[in-house]
Amino acid sequence: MTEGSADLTGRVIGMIESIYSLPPGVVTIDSARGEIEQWDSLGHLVLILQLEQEFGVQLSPEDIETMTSVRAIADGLALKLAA
Amino acid sequence: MTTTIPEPNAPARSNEMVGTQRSIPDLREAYRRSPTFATAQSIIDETARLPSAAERQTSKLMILRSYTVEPIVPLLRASAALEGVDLRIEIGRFNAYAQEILDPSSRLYAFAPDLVLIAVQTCDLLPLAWSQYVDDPEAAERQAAEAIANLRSWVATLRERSAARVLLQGLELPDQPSAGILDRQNTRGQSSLIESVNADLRRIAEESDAVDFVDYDALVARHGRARWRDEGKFATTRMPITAEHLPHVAAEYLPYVLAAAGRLRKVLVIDLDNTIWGGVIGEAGIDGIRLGQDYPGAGYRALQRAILDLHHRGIVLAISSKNDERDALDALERHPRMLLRPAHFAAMRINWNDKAQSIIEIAAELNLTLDSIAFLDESPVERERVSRALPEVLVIPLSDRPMEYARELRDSRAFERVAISNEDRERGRLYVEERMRSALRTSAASLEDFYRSLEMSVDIAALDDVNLARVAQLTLKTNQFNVTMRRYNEKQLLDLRAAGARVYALTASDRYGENGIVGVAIVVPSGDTAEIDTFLMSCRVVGRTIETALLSHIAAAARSAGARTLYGVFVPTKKNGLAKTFYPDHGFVAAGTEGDATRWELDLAAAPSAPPWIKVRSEP
Repeated sequence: MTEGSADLTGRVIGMIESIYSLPPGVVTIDSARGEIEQWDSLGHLVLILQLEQEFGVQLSPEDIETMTSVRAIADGLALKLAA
Repeated sequence: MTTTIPEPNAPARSNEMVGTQRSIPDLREAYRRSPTFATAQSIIDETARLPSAAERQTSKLMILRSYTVEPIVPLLRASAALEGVDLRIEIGRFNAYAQEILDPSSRLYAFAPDLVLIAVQTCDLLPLAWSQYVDDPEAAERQAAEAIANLRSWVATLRERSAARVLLQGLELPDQPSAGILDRQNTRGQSSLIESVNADLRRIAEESDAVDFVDYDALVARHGRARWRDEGKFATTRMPITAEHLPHVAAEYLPYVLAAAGRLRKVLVIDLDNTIWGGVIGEAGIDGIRLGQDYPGAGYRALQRAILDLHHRGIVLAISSKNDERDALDALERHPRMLLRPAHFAAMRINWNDKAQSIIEIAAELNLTLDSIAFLDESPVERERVSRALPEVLVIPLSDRPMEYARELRDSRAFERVAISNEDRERGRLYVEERMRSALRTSAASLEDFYRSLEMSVDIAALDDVNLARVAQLTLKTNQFNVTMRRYNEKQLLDLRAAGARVYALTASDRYGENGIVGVAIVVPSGDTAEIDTFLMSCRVVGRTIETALLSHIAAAARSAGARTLYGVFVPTKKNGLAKTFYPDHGFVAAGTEGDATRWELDLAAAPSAPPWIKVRSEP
């Protein structure tokens, strides 16, 4: 993993903690939708909107389908931000 | 069934996070810079942990809807929290607003909201007008007429069964009409039809004081119709609005939420140099300051226009400026391009003192609390000073571009009103008159001489159609001289009266003019006793013995209706210290406590009489 993507992962984890009001440490790079109580379908929508606000990108229905773990979000964002 | 947004689980957060507690001004600045979901949730969590959280006002909003509005919830709750309101939100089922309104046992009524928002999109309410207009325009028109007739009757039902205010959301116009530019070549057409439905919705709002209209299409247009909707997300999640515009939707709803909660900023305190004109008057002189039609004078003049608009809306204006008073007043009086004149200001502190101190003095002079004040100053240093020293004061953010100042003041939405009463329109004049009364007070030899010199008269009337709106407004807004702080809207007042309570409205006038309706009392009779449910006076007449006149009247009325004892309760809050000694000052004796509240009783045979210097008129 490059330093840049580690930084991205950290930001994504921080955002998930903030929007779901979770204490630090609960969310890791392996966390995924369904494993965290607040990360249900509405919670997922809010997370996607947060990512769009924070990174200034627009995510497609396909992105919403696939970005369902911290790792998948960080990888997907890295691709979009590089493009 | 409805969807309940869970309350944030604040205690679950670690102590580490508690250590990073930010103040309201810091949180407000964080949200201004980055109005995201992460910021919003932090604001909700952190404001709930502030020491002042327990005293926050709670308000309840029910959203009846045809689309996914859930993401707006944290943004709106955070925005309300920044204004001191703990907003609880419930959301109805998709497209079930009719059932929820018509079923008296629905969650809508069980929730007992203060405000009900009916958020319906054009594509759900009028699918024919939205996307199939050209197929059959007459069918689209029939559908529109039916939708309005239904909404009108649903709003009527909702108003009968609930004390909530109702907020009707207007319909957005299509970005690309089916007929292209042809759609606008006549007055019938797809866009015109939707506009006519919006006009009908505004008509429904106009018919009732408790129904308001939010101009959703204007909101969409202001931020850009072409980039408003996210059709991909709408198709997959029923959420039609792009992420960047969701904070704008929350900001648009906020003034209605604050109005329903009775949270209104009343005073704008402004700086002078480099805020309402360019340059420093003490250095540049009256001919050297920038104000007029050119750059940058046009920016300052536009800001004065925006401030004058607020004055006409009933916002009280005051000055806090570091200047030589004579120079500043001279410019206000004589500059040919000046829109704001000394007579527009209810209080002035033009001196070299600390501005936080000046604002405290202005609040005391106007008898208003700090949380009713907003502050406008181009100096970041003064803004920082005031927001640190007085976190209750709303400090309006300004850029360093004078041409933007007017827009930035209007954007702050601090002074939005959904209605304007005659009292509101007159408020500026009333406060200027008060300035003159104060001058008299210092010249009158004794207090009694002062009271006599005011030539006061009061008129005490029972609740009627004419005074209903103002009586409700006073119970909702009066915080300082208010013994029980019970809040009633119009419907609740009528219900109280129907249940046997006597509701009194007091109008005051004196040699300087009319004060309007400034006192309310509600008395509940019960056999040979009667109880004061509500007793309040507007701050602007407190300290003139008018409260004694009102008490004397209600005591006499209770006695002639057969009561021997009059009871009263004082419920202390952070703000109503002014009314704390009202009962003992008028001969009531303590009759026990209930929690924080104290109970008082008065033998009606020994009730106080009206002060001889007040002429009292009342209905027989």
